[in-house]
Amino acid sequence: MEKRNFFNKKDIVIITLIILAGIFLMYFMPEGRGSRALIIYNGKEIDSLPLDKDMIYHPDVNENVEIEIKDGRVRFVRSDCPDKICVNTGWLEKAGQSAVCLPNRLSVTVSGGKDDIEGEI
Amino acid sequence: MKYGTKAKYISYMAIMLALIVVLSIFEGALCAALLLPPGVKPGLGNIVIMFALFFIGKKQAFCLNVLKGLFALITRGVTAGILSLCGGLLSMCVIILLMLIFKEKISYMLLSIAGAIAHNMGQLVMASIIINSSFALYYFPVLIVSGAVMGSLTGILLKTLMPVLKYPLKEVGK
Repeated sequence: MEKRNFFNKKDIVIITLIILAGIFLMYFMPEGRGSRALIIYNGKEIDSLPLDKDMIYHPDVNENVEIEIKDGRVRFVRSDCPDKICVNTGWLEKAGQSAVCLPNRLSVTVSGGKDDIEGEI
Repeated sequence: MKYGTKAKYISYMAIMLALIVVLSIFEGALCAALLLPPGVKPGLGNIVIMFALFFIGKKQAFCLNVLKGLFALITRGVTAGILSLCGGLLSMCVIILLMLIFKEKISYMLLSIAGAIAHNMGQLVMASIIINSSFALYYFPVLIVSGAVMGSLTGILLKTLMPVLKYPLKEVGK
């Protein structure tokens, strides 16, 4: 018959180490990183871009606006609006973050992260 | 094999599979009731697969794993089926590997935990491939911790259930 023990005393050390390593990693992982940038015009979603493909994007509704996606982040690069609040917002990467260009009625919202794998696993 | 033993053996395996199916359904209801985050689940069906792996044989455990994936495929769709299969097979490979490396020095408890973590990892990697995004991998640490906790739990349950599951094994001459 099997000689393997059900439990060895040193297991407690190993289990504790695994859990500590997990908690340690959890602390450093960006919680809720987004996976898609939603381009919203007048309250309606006109486009959804994956954040893991670098690209330069010009919305059809306003070609003077330039949106850039790089290294999993998204930002307004240029806009013809007077206040430039959208450009000054800078990079967005976490789910739920958004940059708004009110004069052009355009906004970019990051979605995904946790929601994406919800129900998949 | 003696006359009749084969029939007993087949029905024994069928009972094993039935147990896995029932435990999977029960687990689904349990996770929904406890509002556990996605991917954090006890893996009750794995108790039976681990038992098969430890006391019956690798081939039988592999069969049960594939059948479990097939059951998920039929009842919960293609994605769930692929995820179940990937998790189950990776988990089994890791346990077999650890058993080969550490022989009898590694306890059932650690094997159970390693299996649970590998199960989670397999599902996570496959999920990342399916949704075509590496961002799901940020979930990695959550699943390590849940794997360690749930693995301990299934380890204890395995220990408790061992005598019950083992009893009919004598009948099939193992």
